[in-house]
Amino acid sequence: MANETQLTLPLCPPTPASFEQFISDEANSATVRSLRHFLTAPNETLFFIAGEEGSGKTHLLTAACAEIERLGARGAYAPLAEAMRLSPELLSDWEQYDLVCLDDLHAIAGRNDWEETIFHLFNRARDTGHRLLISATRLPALIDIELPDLRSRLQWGTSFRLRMPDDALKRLILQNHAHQRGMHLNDQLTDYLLRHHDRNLSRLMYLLERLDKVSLARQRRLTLPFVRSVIADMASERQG
Amino acid sequence: MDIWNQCQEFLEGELSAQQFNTWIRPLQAISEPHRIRLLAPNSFVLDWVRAYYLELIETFLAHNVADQQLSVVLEIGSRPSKPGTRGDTTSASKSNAREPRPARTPETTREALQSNINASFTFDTFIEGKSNQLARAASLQIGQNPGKVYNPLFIYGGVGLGKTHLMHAVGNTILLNNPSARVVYLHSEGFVAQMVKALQHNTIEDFKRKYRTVNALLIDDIQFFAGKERSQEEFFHTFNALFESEQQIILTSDRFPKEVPGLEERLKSRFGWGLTVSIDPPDLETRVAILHSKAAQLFSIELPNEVAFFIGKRVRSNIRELEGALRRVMANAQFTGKPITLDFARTALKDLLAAQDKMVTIVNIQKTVAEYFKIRTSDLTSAKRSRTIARPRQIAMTLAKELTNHSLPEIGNAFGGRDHTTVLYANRKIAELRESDTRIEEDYTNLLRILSS
Repeated sequence: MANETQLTLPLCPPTPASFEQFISDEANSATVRSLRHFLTAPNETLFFIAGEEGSGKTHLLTAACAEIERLGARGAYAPLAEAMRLSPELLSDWEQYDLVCLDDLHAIAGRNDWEETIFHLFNRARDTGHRLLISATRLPALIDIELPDLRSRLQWGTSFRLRMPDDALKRLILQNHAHQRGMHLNDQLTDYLLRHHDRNLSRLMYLLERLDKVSLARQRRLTLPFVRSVIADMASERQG
Repeated sequence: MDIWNQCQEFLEGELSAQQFNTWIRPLQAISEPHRIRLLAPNSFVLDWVRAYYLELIETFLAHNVADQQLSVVLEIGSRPSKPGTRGDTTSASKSNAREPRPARTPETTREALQSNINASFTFDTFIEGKSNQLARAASLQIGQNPGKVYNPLFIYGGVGLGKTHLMHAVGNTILLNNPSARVVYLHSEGFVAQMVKALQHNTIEDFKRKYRTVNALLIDDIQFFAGKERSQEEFFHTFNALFESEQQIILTSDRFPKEVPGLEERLKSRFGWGLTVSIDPPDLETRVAILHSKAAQLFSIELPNEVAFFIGKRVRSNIRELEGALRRVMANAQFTGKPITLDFARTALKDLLAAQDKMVTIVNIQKTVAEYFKIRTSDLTSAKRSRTIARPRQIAMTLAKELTNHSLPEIGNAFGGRDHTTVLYANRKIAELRESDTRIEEDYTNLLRILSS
């Protein structure tokens, strides 16, 4: 235990996510409405969200977790891409939660111990009337889950695929996110980030978080040279 | 706001959303004089919190609470969950969760076990078809006469075909006829987990007594007993006690009893003492009937027939996937406000069906059929016309038509450039042989099961 790496989760949303903060197009809005309905509708066990990295899966899962608590029930969340380095014992007795959120399920595909644990968790949650909210990069039929019992259960619930935001929406999301952190991200800087840094929203969010910390520490405003220097620092850290 | 809420708010700001949701949110706090008890769901979370977050929690409390003697105690357990019914999330009130509940023990799970028959799984909601006729008929008889007609009843078949539904339906019928009957349903893993806990808590005698005195014991997915020798030993004695006292036993598995790997021979032979029935993947008509029934039952709507046929034709493997497809169409319709038409269903299921299509390919069918009949894949595409090759080829072509969306010319082409009329002929021939030759029927359904699971 002491030797295991602590979950560092570099791509996490830096502020607690809520559904209201999820900026989306019409199709993704239907997913959010359906998900919110799932949290309170009777006789529901599973909601599955598929979407590429940066499409907003983690945001929705953590928002659901927070919402279920606001409703007076209990939620828990496991980022499987990180947690798979630990033991599936992490999920032992999790069926006691009204909502269990499992993020990045594809990460444990082919890992027998994790697959079996999640299969049993599914059965127990269903038997106790509790819910599972699961995300992965692809729809259940396309994830290489080896345990047929789990594979078929994953295809049982309501599933939605999140669309990747287009550039206009990404711009809005970035600026809104920066605003929440008390930063002003003007159009020129936003364009620069989208054109020169990375088009992946998760990594852009991480960059924003970093910009926030560094600008606070150095008491600097967001300017193009400053942004460039932070990006250069991050690139050299990665190489180092 | 109480001190734990304040502490959570502080931690929410300090940790990433994932860290907070994974490790802190699951904790439940109970305030007592001079101490806060934090309940973790399991030892893994407890150890983790102790190693990485306890110091942070203690530091916050030291700076924000006047009581200098305040200590933090970490324990495994949980406060009672909501008292509401299934799905009634909003009724869950924290004010109902006052007293701590210890970690689960066989004692505390006993009460839950007695009422764990799912009331919605009845014979009324079970759609009968050719693929499940025998299993349903046997279950109906057992429901009316538990312990007397077939004991044990062993139901086997692929995933998501309704084995669990039938078990519960029997349980519901027994309870309807005799509300005081002790009917226990559990997954084999639940049996193992409870036995392990009974051993840990030194309550194994209670555990034995509990299961050996029920009126009906329904154990799901017994293949998960594989390799668990101590559990198999205990289950063996439970089985004998129930069998001798004429109490009903129903078991399910993904395969025929003798073929379940990792099970003791004496168990396998006992499992065959009563009646063994299979459930196969439903045919198109049954799939359509299931869709109509689920739409009415789950969503209170009448599904347009053309939509039911469209989904039924495209989703063939099992009932869970059928329900998943239906849920997707319903959710899309509900949250976009559009009517459910054939075009709407087609659009709503587009990526899901594309995903399904990738699962069964002609190449995969050829490989599976060749392995099954112990011939080479190249034989299937060759010009050879001997019966040992031609029959498997016809079966493979029929499966390709049933399980993929390729056109007849495409299928013919994939089988060594044959004409589409050859595929058509193969389909007719196999349909005919399935009626007249039980061996062909068995081979075909076996292959269908292998390819659909």
